[in-house]
Amino acid sequence: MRDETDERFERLLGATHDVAASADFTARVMSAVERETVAGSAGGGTARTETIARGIWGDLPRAAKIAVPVAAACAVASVVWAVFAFRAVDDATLATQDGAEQSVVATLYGPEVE
Amino acid sequence: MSSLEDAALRVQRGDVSAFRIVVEATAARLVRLSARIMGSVAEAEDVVQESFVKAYRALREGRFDARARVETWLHRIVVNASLDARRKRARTRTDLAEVDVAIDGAAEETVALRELASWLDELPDDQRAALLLKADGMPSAEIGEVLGCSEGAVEQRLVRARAALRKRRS
Repeated sequence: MRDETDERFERLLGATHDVAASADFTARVMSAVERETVAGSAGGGTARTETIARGIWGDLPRAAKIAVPVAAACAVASVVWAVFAFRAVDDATLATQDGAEQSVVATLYGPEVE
Repeated sequence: MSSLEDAALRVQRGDVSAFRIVVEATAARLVRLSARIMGSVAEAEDVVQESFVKAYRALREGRFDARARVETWLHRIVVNASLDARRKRARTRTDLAEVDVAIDGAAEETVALRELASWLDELPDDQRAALLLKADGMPSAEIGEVLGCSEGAVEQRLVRARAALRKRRS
């Protein structure tokens, strides 16, 4: 059943049916595409890598564009934390081993006499 | 193989001039669709031009795998780019009146575009896109490919969009 909403929609679609790009639109697009081709071939591998990276970045959803830098920062922080934690554990283990060795020596040979 | 698919294949093999066939065959429809989303021909031209460059890059880098028709794929790129540009414009609070300062002898068309865009303004992006693609004569199954959802989901979005527009009127 048609009502005012359908009529308004159809009227607006009709009024915008002949919307067209400007006469030089195809030429503009082709020159942009040709610039892209020249930039790609002049830059060689680096330009191509940048183009691929830009393409991948461009294809990401907006939420992911925010999440990727945050995730990268978290990953770097995790690695730094892991290195420090590993060093702390290592130091603690060495200290414990030294203490144990001294205890064994003291038990076997008695206290050191100067 | 259609002439568009054939042209896309030639572009993939390095024939830049074949891309002109793709542009000439699809530009009119894509600019009209983008203009209806954006409410402005000038902005739509920028969005569609950028989309064509993106599509060209994807073809050259082998990122178009021909699972979809070339035209459907281009529609997907243009719809996403138009919706993104619209959101960006909303964030920067650019008024439509500042965008299309002069459209040669097409004042009525400009007014209708703005009325259409602002009328559909409160619809969610997916409903607005589905409604305008359907209005352009695209079958629901193909709209599903453009929007990345099932045919059923498209029909649901169309029903919701119409209901929302009716509700706003009353």
